[in-house]
Amino acid sequence: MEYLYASLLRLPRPVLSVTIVAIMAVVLLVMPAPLTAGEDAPTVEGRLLDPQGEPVSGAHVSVLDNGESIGEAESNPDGSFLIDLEHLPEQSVLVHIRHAHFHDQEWRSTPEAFQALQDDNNLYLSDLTMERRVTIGFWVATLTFVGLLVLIAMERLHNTLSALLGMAVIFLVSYIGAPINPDLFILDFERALQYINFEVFFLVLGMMIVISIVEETGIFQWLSYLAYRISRGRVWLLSIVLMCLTAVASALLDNVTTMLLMTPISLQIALALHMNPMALLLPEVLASNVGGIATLIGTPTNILIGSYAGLSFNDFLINLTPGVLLAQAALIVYAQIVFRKEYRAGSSAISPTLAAKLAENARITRPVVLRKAGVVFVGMLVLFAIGERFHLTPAVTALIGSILLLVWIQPDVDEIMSAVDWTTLLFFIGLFVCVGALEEVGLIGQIAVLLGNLVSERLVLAVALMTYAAAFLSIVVANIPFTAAMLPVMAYLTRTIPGATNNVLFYALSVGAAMGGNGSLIGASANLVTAGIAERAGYPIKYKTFMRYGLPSMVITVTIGLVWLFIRF
Amino acid sequence: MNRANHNSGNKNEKRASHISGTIVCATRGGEGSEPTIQGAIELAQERELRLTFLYIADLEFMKHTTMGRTGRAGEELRKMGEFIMLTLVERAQQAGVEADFAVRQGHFREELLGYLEETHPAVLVLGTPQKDTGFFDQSRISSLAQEIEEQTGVPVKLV
Repeated sequence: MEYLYASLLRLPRPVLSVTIVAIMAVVLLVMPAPLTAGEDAPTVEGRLLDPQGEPVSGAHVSVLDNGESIGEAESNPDGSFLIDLEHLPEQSVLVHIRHAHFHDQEWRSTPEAFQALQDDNNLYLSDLTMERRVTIGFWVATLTFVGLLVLIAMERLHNTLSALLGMAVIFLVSYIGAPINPDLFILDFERALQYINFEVFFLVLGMMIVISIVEETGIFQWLSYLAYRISRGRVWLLSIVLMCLTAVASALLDNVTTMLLMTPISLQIALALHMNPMALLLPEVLASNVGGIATLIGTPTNILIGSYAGLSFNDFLINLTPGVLLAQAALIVYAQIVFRKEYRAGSSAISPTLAAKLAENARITRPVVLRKAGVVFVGMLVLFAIGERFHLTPAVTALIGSILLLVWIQPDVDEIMSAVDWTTLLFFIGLFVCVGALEEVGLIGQIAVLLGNLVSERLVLAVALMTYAAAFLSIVVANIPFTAAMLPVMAYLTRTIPGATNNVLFYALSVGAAMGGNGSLIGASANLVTAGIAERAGYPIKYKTFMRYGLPSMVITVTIGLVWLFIRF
Repeated sequence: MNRANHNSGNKNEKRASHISGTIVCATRGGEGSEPTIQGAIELAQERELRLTFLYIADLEFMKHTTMGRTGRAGEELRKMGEFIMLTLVERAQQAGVEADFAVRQGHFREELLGYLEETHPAVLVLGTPQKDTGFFDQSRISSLAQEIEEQTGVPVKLV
C-alpha cells in the first residue's frame, strides 16, 4: 500500500489528477449507491385493516433487517403506508406493525415476495388484517361514553359540559396515564381532530345564523295566529293546522327553535280558547320530532347521518319525506282521537282586550328582514337540492346563504353571533372526540360484529331491528350521541349485509333515532323546551303524561316509517 | 290557607313608610295557581287594595338544552307572561278589583326580591303547591317567604 502511494506521488501532476478522478469513478461505480428517500429507494407499501375491514390509521410500521430498522412510517387515515427503505434487506423482508389498540404483528416475506422487491424495487403487501386487543383504555373510553349518556339523561350536567368533560377525560388518560401504563392510551389530539366532522359543524353553524335571523321576524307566531283566526274556534282544525305548520317548520329549521317559537303563542291561543294547552302542545311537539326527519337539515341526527353516509338533501327528500308524510298523517289522526274531548270543549269566546293582545304578540315584527330572509332561504333550498351537481356540499350552501343574508340585512353581528348556539357546536366537537375514542379502542367494531352476527345476512331483520332499537334506545339515551356512535356500525352492516348498499340502514337509523324522541319527555330537546315553557305558564307536562301520549304515537309513526322503508327499498 | 307573618324587627319598621297600597300576587297562572289567584283577589276585595299580578320569566329550564337561545326564549316568555297576566287582570276586574300586571325576566328569586324592593307592596301573595312540582316545591316557597320578609319587610301570605 505504501509502495502504491509512493508510486502515485511520483507521477506527473496532470497524470496524478486524472488517475485520482479515475479511481474515484471506479469506487463510486463499485460501491453500493447510497439510498435517499426518493424514487430510487426500494419501497414497501400496504394497507392495514381492522377485523371489520375498516382502515387502521396511526399504526407504526417498520421494516427490519437483521433486527435493525431500515425504514418506518405511520399508516394513513385510509390505512395505507409507504416505507422508503435505506437499502435492500439481505435475505427477506420483515415488517413489524405496532398500534396501541391492536396486537403487535409481524409479516415476513416469502422468497417470491423478496424476489419481487429485488426485481421491482417495490413490494406491495396485500391488505393486512390486525387483531384487536382490549386494553384498559378500551374500558376507560367505554365508561366515559356511558357516563356521558348518563349525565345527559339525568340532567346532572349540561349536554355540552358532559361531552367536553368526556373529551377531557380521554385526553387526560391518554397523555397523563399512558406514560405510566401504555395500555391506558386511547387517542392523541391529532388523531382526535380527524374524528371531528367539520361538515356537520359548519352546516349547523350556517343554519343557526339563518335561524337566528328568521326567528326574530315573528313569522311563526303570525302563522299560528293566522291558523287560530282561520279555524274560528274549531279546535280540531286548529290542531291540524298547527301540527302541519310545526312539522314543516321543523323540516326546514330545527325542532328546538320551532317549539321555542310555537309553544308560547300556542299556549296563548289555548288560553284564549279556554282549553288545556297540553291538547295543542303535545301534538305539536310530536309533529315537530316527526317532521324534522323529512329533510337533511331538519334534525341534527339527519345532518350527522347525511354527512357520514354521503346522503344528499335530495336523497332524504326522495327516500324519507314520503314516509314522514304518511307518519305525519297518522299522527294527526292519533291526536284527533286522543284529544277529542279537549277539542270539543274549546270555546272561542275572548275579550277584545285579550284578542288585541294576542294579535299584538303574533305580529310580524321585521317585515323587511323577513322578505330578505325568505329570498335567501328559498335560494338555499334550491342550492341544497341542485348543489350536488356542482359538488356543493350542504355545509358550504349553508355558509354561503348565511353570510349573504348577514351582508344583505347587516344586522348587529354581535347580537346575531350571540344568538348562535355555540354550546351545541361545542357539544358536537366533544361528542365527535368521545365517539372517535370508541372507534379507536374498538368498541364500535365489536358492536358492529355483534349486530352483524345477530342479523346474519337478513336485511329485513337488520332494518327492523335498527329502526326499533334506535327508537326505544332514544327514549332513555340522547339520540345525537347514540346516532353518532351508531354510524360506523351502520357503515359496517351496509358493507356486509347483501342488498344494504342502498343505505337503507342509515335511513332506518334516522327514522328510529328521531321518531324515538317522541317516546319520552327526555327523548328530544324540543320536548324539554316545550315542557319548560308550559311549566312557566302553569301547565307542567309530567314525564308520565308525556309518555302516555308520546309512546303510542312513537310506535305508530316508527312502524309507518319502517313500512315505508320496506316499500321504498 | 296558610298565613306566614314573620316579624323582621327594625327592617319592617324602616320599610313601613314606603309601603304602597298594593297587593302583589306572584304567579305563573295555570290550574295549579287557581287558589293563589282567587286568594289574592279575595284579599284585595277585603282590604280594598289594588292588585298587581307579577309574572317572572325564568329561563332556568333552558340550562340543560339550549343556553344560546335564552334571548329569544326570554322575549317569547315575556309576551306569553303578559297575555296570561292580562287574563288574570280581566278576571280581577270582573270581581270588582282594580288590577294591573308586571312582567320581569330573570331568576325568579332575584327578580321577585328586586321587584318588591322597588315597589314595597302591602302584601305579597304566593302560592304553595299541593305536591312537589319541582320548581315551586313547598320547602323552597317557605324559605323564600321568610327571606322576602327579612330582606324587604313585605309581609308574605302563602296560599
